[in-house]
Amino acid sequence: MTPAFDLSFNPAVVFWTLISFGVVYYVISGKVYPVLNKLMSERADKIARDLNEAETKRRTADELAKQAEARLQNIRLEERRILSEAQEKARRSAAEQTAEYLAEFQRLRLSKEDDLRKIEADFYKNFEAQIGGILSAACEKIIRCDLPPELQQKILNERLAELKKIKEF
Amino acid sequence: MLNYSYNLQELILALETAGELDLFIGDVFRFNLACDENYGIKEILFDEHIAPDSKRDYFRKTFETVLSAGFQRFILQLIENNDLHFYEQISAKFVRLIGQERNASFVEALSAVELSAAQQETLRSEMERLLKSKVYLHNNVSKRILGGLIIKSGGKMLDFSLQAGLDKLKTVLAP
Repeated sequence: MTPAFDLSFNPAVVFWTLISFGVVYYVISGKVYPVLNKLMSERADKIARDLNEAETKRRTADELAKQAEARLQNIRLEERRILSEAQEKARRSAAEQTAEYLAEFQRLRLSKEDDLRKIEADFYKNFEAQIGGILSAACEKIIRCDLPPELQQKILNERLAELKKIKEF
Repeated sequence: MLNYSYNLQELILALETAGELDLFIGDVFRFNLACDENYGIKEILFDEHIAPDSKRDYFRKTFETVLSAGFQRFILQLIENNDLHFYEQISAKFVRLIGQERNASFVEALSAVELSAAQQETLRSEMERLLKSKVYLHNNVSKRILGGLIIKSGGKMLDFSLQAGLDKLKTVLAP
């Protein structure tokens, strides 16, 4: 049977076991453990600092995101305002332009109507003058051709009768 | 400006003595009418740039058989004196002077046909009524008058012609 499974008490083994344990304990607690403890503390501190820094950066990022969102909102509002103003301005301008065109159209229409009336009046005046001239010329021609002596005498007598009615020369 | 002075009083006396005064006055109206109704008479006779000899020949050729000898002499004298362009003033003054002398008015009646004696008498009496003076009437036939008559006296005129009616018609038809 091997010593490990030998259940019989051996003081030498116990002694050396204790010595070995003491040596290992001493080495570990005096030399290894402080180094490891220091490393672990530093590591924990670094992690804590990194976490703090990350939190700070996250907050900053959140703040910046909020600011960007607010700015974007303002930009959208401004965009809508500018667009609305531009639309209103364009509508007013279009309305003014339309009114101007309508006024100009009305003025031109009245002017053209006046012109047409004048042309019509001139036409009728000239037409009447021409007809009058033709009728007068025709009458003159008829009278000149067809006035027999007895009619001439009759006209003369009528005119002399008219002369008798005149009171003043 | 007149080149010579003309004693119209002496002319009246000479015409009265010769018994040609009425004929002379009638010729004045006839000559005036011929000048008004024809193109060429005034244009030739009253043009200062045409030589008196040409005027004389033209006048004789045109009026030899139409006007009395006395009136022809009068016009020829004005042509010779180069005073014919004063004819209108001279003749107007002549007629006015006779009117004053005789206390009478000279009336010229232009008609399409010659007025009968009865018509002339009616016209004379009516004009005497209107002018309130004795009237010497001269009737001339004018080609311009279609019918009726035009009465002229001392720058005034009464238009009883058909032409006046036609003119009125023309005015109504073509204002």
